[in-house]
Amino acid sequence: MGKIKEPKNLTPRIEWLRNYYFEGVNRPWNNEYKVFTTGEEHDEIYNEITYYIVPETYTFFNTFKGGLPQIARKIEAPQDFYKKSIAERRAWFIKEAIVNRVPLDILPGDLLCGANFNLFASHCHTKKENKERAKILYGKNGLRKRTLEFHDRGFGNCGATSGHLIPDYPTIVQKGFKYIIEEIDKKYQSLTKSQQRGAEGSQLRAMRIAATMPCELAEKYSKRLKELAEKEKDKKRKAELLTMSKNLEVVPYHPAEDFWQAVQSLWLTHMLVMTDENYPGPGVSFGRLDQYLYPYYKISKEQGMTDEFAKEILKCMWVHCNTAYDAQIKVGANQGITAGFGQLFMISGKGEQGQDLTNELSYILLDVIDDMSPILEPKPNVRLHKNSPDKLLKRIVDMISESQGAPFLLNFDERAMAGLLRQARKSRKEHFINEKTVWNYAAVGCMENTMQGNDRSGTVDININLLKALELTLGKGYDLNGYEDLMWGKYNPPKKHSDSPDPEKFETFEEFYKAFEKQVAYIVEKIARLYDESDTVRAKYHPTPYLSCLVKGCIDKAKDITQGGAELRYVTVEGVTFATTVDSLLAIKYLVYDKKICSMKELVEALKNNWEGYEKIQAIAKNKAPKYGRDDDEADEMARKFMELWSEEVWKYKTTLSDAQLRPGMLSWNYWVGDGYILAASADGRKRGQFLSNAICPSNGADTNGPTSNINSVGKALGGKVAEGGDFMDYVNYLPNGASHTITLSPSLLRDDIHKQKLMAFLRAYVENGGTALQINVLDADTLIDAQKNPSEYRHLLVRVTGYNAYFASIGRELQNEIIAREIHNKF
Amino acid sequence: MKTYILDIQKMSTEDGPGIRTTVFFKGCNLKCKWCQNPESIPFYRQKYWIKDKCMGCLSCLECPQKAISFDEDGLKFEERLCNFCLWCAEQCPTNAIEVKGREIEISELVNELLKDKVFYEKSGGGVTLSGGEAALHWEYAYELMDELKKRGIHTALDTAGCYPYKILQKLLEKTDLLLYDIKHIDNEKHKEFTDVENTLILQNAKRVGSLEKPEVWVRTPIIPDSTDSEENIKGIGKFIKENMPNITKWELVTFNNLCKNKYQLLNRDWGYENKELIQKEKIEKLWALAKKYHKNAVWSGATKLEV
Repeated sequence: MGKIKEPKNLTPRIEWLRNYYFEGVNRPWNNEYKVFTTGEEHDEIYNEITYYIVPETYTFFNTFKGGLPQIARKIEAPQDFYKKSIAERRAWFIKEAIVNRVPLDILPGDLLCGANFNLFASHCHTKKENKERAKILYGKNGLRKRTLEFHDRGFGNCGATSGHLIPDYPTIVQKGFKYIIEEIDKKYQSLTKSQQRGAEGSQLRAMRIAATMPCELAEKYSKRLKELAEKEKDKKRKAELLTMSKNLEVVPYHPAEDFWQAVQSLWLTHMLVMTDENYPGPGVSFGRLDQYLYPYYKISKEQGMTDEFAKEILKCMWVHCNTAYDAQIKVGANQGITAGFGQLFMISGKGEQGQDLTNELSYILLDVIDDMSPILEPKPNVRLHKNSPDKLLKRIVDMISESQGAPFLLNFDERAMAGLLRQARKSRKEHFINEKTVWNYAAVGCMENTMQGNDRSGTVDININLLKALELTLGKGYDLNGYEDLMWGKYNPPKKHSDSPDPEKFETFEEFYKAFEKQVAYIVEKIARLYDESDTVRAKYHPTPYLSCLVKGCIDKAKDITQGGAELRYVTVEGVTFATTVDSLLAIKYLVYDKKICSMKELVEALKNNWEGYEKIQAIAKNKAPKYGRDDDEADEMARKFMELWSEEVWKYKTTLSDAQLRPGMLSWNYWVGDGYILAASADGRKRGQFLSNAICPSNGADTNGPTSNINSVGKALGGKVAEGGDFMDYVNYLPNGASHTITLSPSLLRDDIHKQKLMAFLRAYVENGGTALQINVLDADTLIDAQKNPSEYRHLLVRVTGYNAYFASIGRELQNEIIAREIHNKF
Repeated sequence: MKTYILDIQKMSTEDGPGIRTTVFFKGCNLKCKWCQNPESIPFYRQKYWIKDKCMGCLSCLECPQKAISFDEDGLKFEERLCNFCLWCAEQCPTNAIEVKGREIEISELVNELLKDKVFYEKSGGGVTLSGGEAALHWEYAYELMDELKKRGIHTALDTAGCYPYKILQKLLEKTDLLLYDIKHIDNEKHKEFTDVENTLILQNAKRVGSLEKPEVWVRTPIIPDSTDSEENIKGIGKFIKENMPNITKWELVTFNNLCKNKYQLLNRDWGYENKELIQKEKIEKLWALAKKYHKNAVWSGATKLEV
């Protein structure tokens, strides 16, 4: 078997907790959703809008909607409940559930409190509110129906989703909820009587209730710990329980005094965000953990804490983060519902003067990752930049070489900051994001860049299939294919969506591209408008008063975060199918205009027929037309031009009620796989049913010139570098929210110190020429076996055998077997 | 100036320090029986038909020279009719007709090589000229390295050294690192395996081995039943010790049979097709031996799988 990365350096406590977690459904304890209802007949609990971006769940909507109230426990609403605002009702209801109705579990040996946080709570709507909302969502031409059709016709998906932001945790750790409550009270006092009676007053009252929730929960935990300590026989554990109890007398209400308290404060505060949003963890991120926890680490070290104990505390937090997955533990993780929650944290990165901010805690965190992996949460992301120290790079490369893939993502400061400064300019937020503040950015979810603590960054709310614009251009504004409705099996013929001239009339590619530009504008507008409807529903019916306490701006404006309270408000349009679209444009130019291999009419027929009967043209499109990802300047210029085109369209839109600016980014989650079955065949030679391209990566197998060329192409697509007029230094970045980029390396390229140094240099070069975020896969035997079965998908895969690297796909089967065997035995 | 090259390999990590791009020139004056790149031996371009890639569209039958036919065994080139216009390869939808070798202007090649400049700079890498025998394109190679050095790029020349020293001397003016092959110390064996004597190679080796500049690494391929005897390593080691005081590295590179499908494609028998990879034990033994003669002896490459 291959050398699978194993956890290491675990103390008995952590080993037990980690193993216990992985027992999954067999555990006596789990953090499954606790479901609560007001008991009203009309009560709804499931908010499907948060799942509109997860097409796999569409068919479960009615099950969840109808099923949850049946298994819910009732919490009797107090008197006058329905006279209060929705925010106040929700704040009270959630607090009541989590503080008084959920058990206060503490796992054996655990150093942190806060175990049961997955909650499904009543929307707390009146009958009238429920009816209004239901009409918008489930009506004959309701949002649900249109969202589903939008997806089924291949445009993509969108919906106002939870998480995907970095709450202002440092303020809680440093000042405690005491400070938040004081601020709320101050603001409340500053309101006029009529304002207090109005929306602002009720919002602040709701937030005040919410802000007391973690404090009261801490109090209860603290008492419980004392009880446990009294019964505890083991002296050492008894002392721990007493310290934990004492910790919770201090945090999160008061400022943390040491490292243990800081982490306890952070965890409790964080888990309740997931509680408040009724959505376990997606993208609720920690920000620059090594920076704001560092002072506490130092204090505790001075007081005698060992690094080993600091790691134990952090490892406990790791286990807690993973229990987010328990939400639907009995349903299983294969529904796509519970995969990849992305509680991200950052390590290292630049400071204001461009200096490197790596500290001892950065390395402690890397050790914790190394010791605990493989494990899914939380998701580390290491920031690299021009001045990153060799020591950090070496540690990173060592970790990559020992794992199947890098156990973290790499984020590249200069390119990322260029994007955020462009965003500041485009959205007129220079007073919040400028050269003095941008260095303190961090990423959420997977790799989406945002500011910390004041940024309502809905980073995955809109996922657009850019390829659809090309389809409409080729189809005179119609779909090229109809589709079969998955729910009812009904065939829906192609439909006209927009006006577009007959493509057969275009005499030059430039004319074609002009028409394409209009369709790009069309699909972006369409998705922006559809999204706005779900954002409006959230703003009206789904306040999150607790989260609002944790994002700067909400108290000041006395506004819920869902209604535009945060200082910074963005929604990302994640461009999906980028390379497929670029390669298709290149193929159209090559086939129809440059080489005149076929007419436009023939090409359109070929695509409508999924290339069947047109295999020769398809082969030419695949093998002869230029492709993005090979460092071919002409092809990459097409990529850049198209990137500029669609990203500029995105800047034109804002949401109505939450006043959030739409901004471009590229992350394809799993859509590039699933939507491959939905979107018609494309001009790059792809058949319907084959994968689309992933995020900013070149199409599978297109990057035949190897990783350096791939990287250069990605950098160019983002705008490259210009001597003057870059967004930051000489860097241009059209995608402020970042662009996910994955490359695969052979483990043999990491086989000794000389080669590891080459990889370190490779990363330094990525800082200069590459994109914003990189995932490195180190291929294993399984990948090789898959590569052998699907050589065309792996044309770029380099393997080293002797003296030089060879493309795996280009060598004979027997030799492939030999190499696979070698990889399995790891004998290189 | 133009010449024929076989390939440009980016992110090459095995042909000198750092991250490099290796340019494989076409044509070689040695005919090593174990050659890993048989398509690099002829100086002229060659065309192949690759059965696995062919979709059977038969569009190549429209060859303007009528030099292509197709029967149950597949595609046949009628060499006497072919004028090498390469129309067939250009139009083949699946690239099943492949041409080995392409003509390239120095300026175009330099532009291509400069694209990875930042990777060279960060890694202490650069460009390696290999082959075939790069030195046989000496005018071109000289100018290419000159252009690269003007742009601050590290150059390496990978050579078998079988040509007048005058040529090598000229090239060394622009070479930062010389990768010099010594395959066999015994002249007769050398002739048997490579088709040429080693006299000139060893003469040149002596001269480059005592130069202050450029840096020189010696490379010895470890080929089963051909160069892998202790006697050969001892002989080369002794030669190095006596005649090449300034070399900084001696690299033993083990054999692989990765290229066997290339020979199948060329329709040629290859005597090494069924040779097994070197045992790890064996290479370690040879390495230990090599270290007695040179302090910086290393080995790299694949060894036989020990299950």
